[in-house]
Amino acid sequence: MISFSKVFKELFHVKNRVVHMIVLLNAVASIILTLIMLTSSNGGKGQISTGSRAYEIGNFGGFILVLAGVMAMMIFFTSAFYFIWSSVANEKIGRQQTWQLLPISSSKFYLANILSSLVSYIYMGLLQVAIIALDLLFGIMVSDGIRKWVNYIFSGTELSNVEVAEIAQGLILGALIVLLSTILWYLLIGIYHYLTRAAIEFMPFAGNKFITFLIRVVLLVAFIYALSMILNVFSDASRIIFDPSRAQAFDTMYLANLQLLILDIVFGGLNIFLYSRFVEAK
Amino acid sequence: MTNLLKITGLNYKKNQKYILRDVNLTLDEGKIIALLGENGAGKTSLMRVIAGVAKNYSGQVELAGGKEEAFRKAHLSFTDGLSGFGDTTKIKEVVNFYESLYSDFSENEFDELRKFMKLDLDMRLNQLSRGMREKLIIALTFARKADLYLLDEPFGGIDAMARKKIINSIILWKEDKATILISDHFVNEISTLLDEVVIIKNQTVFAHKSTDEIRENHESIEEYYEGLYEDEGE
Repeated sequence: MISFSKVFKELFHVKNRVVHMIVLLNAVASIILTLIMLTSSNGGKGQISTGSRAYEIGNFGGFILVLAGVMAMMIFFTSAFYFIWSSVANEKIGRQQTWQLLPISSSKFYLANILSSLVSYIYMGLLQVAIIALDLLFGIMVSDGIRKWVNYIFSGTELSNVEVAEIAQGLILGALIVLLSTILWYLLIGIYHYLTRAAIEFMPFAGNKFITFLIRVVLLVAFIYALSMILNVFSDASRIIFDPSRAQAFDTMYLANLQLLILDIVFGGLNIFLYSRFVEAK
Repeated sequence: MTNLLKITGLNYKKNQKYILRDVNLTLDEGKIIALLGENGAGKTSLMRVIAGVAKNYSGQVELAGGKEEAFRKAHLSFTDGLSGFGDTTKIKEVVNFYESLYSDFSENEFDELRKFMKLDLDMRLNQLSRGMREKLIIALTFARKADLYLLDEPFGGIDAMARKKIINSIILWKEDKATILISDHFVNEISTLLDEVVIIKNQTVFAHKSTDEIRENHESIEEYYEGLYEDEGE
């Protein structure tokens, strides 16, 4: 039998091919967009202003900074693209015979599939941030103006230990919300897919496209309704459990994480059951 | 003779229709067995149930003493249509996949089979004809050291000469104790290989006989097989 880590590694490798392509496209598109922006504004003033201060950074320095900004903006689009692609890829891989023939339990394979998408997503984010950081670092090395500007930004912004801890806590809780929400998204797509598949396989109308379409629509409506009811329950429960007017700064974030974790565990368990019992290889 | 595969009371339905009903089948190790039946009889479904890629059936399937799907998959090799690979995937990338995930996959064995099938590692899947693709699938199947090989119509697109060559070599590629279950429409061509024949008819195992037994009472296996459907044709 194969280990979970081997299957995870192979799935991660498959998904990373797309990640590398997306990051490369982001870099190329960002360079082109930056050039278009700078040439259409006749290269700009080669200057960056913060408050009352202006720093001469030259055209090249301007290119570096605008490029960093454009790449950062493009992360929104690359994330959305990867999100949609990976949601479809998870379901496609789950039904391919090549993968279903692997000597690993359905539950482990399902988890490896979802987690590899999540880890690829994190990897994509880190890769893009690293490229932007390298771009800015290069800018700091070659442009005196950028170096002075960065110094000005960070001077006088001494943070106390408490402030640093709060910022770190906020970032960690925020990152966890993003990760748990991503998992929840994948699980919801999976549940809808598996319920639809189970219903279509169960019904006697094998080839009837209209019936199949009707099943998908009915299940989608029922699914959205059930999900809104669950979210209402959570919302009511949190109002009962604590008083938002007296909540500490991070209480809502802790609660959101807990709610997401519970939903992930419940839907994850349901998906594993449905996948193991009903989802056949194509 | 040790039982390798034991199927008891298997029922498999799709869309509320029985595909397989009350199937009971026992296969011994070391045999080459043909799985015969007309189109839609349930041969592929039976192989998919054994391989663990068909779900939601009732009954029991036991292979090499284990009932769990993951255990069965570790002990069998099923002809895979390579659906998990993109069209531009090279053969060597497919081999890398098998090598990294299947501990019983032998790269040396695959290399010998590949050369026999005249396949180039740098060829992409979309460059392969139907017959070449089927040769690749056979090579990948037999490059694994499995207890049970499930070959689902493996020769459909292969030319007659190559088909004969592959059929004659199959016996050399399997371990002595390994069993091959092969479903194919070229009954006459594979008959020389066979130890037993299983006929799927009326959604169940209609007959399970040794080829010696069949040849005692009939001219050939094909004659026996065709005789089972004679009345229906009239």
